[in-house]
Amino acid sequence: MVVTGLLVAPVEGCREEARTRLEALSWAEIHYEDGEGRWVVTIESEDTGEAIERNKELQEYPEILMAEMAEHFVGEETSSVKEPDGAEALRAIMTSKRAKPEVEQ
Amino acid sequence: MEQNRRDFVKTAVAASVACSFGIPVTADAKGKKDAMEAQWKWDKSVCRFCGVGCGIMMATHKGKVVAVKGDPEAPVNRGLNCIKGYFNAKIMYGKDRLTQPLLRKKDGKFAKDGKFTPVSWDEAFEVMTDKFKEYYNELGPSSIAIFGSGQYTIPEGYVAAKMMKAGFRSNNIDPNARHCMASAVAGFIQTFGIDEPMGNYDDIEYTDTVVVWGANMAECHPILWSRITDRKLTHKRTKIVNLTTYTNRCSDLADMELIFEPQTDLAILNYIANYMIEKDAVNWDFVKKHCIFATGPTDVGYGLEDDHPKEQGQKMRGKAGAHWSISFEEYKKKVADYTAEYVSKLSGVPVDKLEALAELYADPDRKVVSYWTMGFNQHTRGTWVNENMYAVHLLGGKISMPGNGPFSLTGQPSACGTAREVGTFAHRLPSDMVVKNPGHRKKSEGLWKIPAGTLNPKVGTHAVKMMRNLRAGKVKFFWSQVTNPFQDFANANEWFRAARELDNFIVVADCYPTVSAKVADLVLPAAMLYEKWGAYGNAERRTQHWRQQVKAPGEAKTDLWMMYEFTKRFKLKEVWKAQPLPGLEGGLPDVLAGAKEMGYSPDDTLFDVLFNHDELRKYSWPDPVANGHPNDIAEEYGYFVHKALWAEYREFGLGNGHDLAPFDLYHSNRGLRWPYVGGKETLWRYSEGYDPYVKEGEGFSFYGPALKKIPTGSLKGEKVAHPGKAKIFFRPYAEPAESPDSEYDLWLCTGRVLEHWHSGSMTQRVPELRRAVPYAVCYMNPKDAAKRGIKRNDEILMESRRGKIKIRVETGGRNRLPEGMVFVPWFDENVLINKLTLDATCPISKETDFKKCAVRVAKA
Repeated sequence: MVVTGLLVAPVEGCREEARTRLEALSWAEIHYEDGEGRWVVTIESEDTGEAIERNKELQEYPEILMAEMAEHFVGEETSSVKEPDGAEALRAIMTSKRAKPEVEQ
Repeated sequence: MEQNRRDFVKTAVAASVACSFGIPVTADAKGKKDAMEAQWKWDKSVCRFCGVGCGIMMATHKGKVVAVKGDPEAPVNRGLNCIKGYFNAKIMYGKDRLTQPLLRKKDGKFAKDGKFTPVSWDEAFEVMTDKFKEYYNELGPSSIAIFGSGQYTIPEGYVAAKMMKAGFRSNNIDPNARHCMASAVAGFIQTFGIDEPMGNYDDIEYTDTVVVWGANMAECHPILWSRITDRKLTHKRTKIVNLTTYTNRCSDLADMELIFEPQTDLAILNYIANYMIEKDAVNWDFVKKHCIFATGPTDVGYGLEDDHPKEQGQKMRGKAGAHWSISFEEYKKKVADYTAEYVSKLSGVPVDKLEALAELYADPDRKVVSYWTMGFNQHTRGTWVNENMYAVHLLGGKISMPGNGPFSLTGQPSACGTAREVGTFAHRLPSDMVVKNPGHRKKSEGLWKIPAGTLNPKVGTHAVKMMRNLRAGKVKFFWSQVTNPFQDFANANEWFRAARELDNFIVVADCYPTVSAKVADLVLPAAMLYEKWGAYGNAERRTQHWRQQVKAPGEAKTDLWMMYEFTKRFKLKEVWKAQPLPGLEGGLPDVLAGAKEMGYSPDDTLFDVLFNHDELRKYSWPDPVANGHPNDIAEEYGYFVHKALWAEYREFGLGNGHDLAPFDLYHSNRGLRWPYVGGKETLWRYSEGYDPYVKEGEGFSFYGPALKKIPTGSLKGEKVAHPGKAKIFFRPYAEPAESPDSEYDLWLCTGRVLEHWHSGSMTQRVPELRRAVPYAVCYMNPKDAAKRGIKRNDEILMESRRGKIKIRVETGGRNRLPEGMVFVPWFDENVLINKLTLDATCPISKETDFKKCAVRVAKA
């Protein structure tokens, strides 16, 4: 489980439409709002990749001017980062083959 | 139970965010936040990526980083982070981190055509030292080179510069910042006599107008863009203009978008100057008191190689930076050619948009901030276009005041703090001093406690020349630190060949097996940012320090340690003897007698003389400022290395406009903007009341000392000093070095995307960022694609006169290209776009133009 905290600002004049949008999402929740039109919103997701996608989705709503990540809780995820694609291949290049970049003749 | 846990975490995270932004929370919510973080040790740090310089809070638990958040107390980002910022911790934990030195070996010993083999540090240094001495003893200091970085920490850059310039007496050290903001530096020095912006990020909250020139801030400086967004939201008068060669994310917020033909920014700026003169919008009170007018030669070439057709007949190639003063009437006559109609035709921008833009600068009641990055700086007339920008601001007097000013953004976290302020360039010494100036050398020799005559007076090889000299066999030993040059340089095929097929020795210190590591003969595993103490200086002159948070994996070591250990292998008699130096009659003198008078022995090591003397060792370790954090370097060398180096480095800038604060102070705040004088940072330089170097009654003073005495009327005119004055330059439009033609019919522009930083060596190893943008694509106009029978996601072959690559096409998305142009980001090592780019540079700054060359594409 990943919980991401966002600072969100709705477009002026579209506050209620933005609220309706967010309230329709099962994974988003408005927690706080201040007098300057700023909301604190959390996004819930399976992993940080999904959190990013959901953050992007919010940013693309026309009623939302700004949706910036401010904090995220990642549980144990940080200490168990998955190996990136190709890491083994890179290591193999470095340690067992003659490494030579592709040079066009 | 899961429901409860989920709710608990959500409440705690929301409370933490609210607290960060001053939004009231309930006592219960705050209690949950405190409980969640009870076992974590939080400390302030700095983001590893771009030049914005965001503060981050980093939590460690059991020797691992467990959480990262925007630092709510950081004035730069005020608790926000961009998507990359959140993954500062994860960049350390890629499974292919390099953890031991790798040397190419065959039959048990080093061989250029050998296979990478893990070796001990002792063996690595032994081979490295042998190769260095082989070339150095034969060819002298010009045969060795370090390619450094705007990502060096300040102490690392300082040690590199001192080791090369004071130790090995070679000025062949140049950073990747040469590719990043050298044009901005040259523009600052020529115009104001001193480097770096006069304003700061606070301008965003004071201004009425933000004009973005050649900078996709929404993707490349996203936190500043958030602040601009907030300003637009809360200040109704705010206007945002995006000048760009293609529609990007900045256009989404902009009130006005101006798409212009590549290179014509020079002409647009001259049009604005012309408009201001014609409309009597010049701030004469300001201009008469504080400015002069100037210009320079135009036949200066394109920084290409001597035999390139574009360089023929360019008689002032060697004197591109020369300039002279002119009268206002001459200036007026020169910009008068830049009428709205002429510039509209040249740039493709409609006349009404040009007029609307010019009026924003001309309106005396409107504050304006102009931002730019690589669109201006990576430009064959990069220095000129920076200077034209200053001319517009100076004409209107919109400078050095809250909400008014030109601002050159940087792309790297310490391009300012290290590359520029420390002076890791081939021509520089700390605090804006230069190797050519005898007075500057004397001061540096004094502070470094080395004999008179040690420092080399000849400017070393700038970045592009370094690669060309590698290919020419003039540079034989090449050490890359904190950067990925073989992915970064334009015309990359040439340098691959030079490194792999010629007699030389390439050392690459890096964290991951990058393209450059694969090109190397010796790979040194490097520690990353949070595995060491350090400091960065961001684009608004803010210096920020951090503590080591965790230990580096395996045998990975800091670059500083590598240099310290390397200098142990050299004795003074090997480096301070008489040395040959091409272009310097008589070469470098023997300074061993002078060294003896200073109490040194010819058998002393460079390490003892440069990095282990009593003045440094008096800074003892442990020190309360560490607050329980580790310090591997201090433990190993027995003194507080970073504090000692800071104290020595700080001496260079005191009293000359570059004053830095004492070391400990930086650990109790979120950075300070220099000059730091009398317990105060300086927010707006050159402006009375803000800048302690401006005397009472002066109003403004452009007090930078460099290039103030210039000829009058022509290069042969009488030299006159203009102390305290800024120069309003006239710089004309000049055609690009290469343009589309019938054979190669498209412009290629390269750059960055939000999710990846620079060559992607770190961000590509964060699974979430890699998944978000897994590979580079070619952004193309749908009509251009249709004309060639290409559809979205098709693989195409892209070719220039220098190389070819395969890449997938994107006809929509975040970047919307005009017909005739394609854009490719350069983060992807599987799509080495710099095989295609042209190594043309600004002849003054020597910065490469990565934004303009000609290509053709066809379906693969």
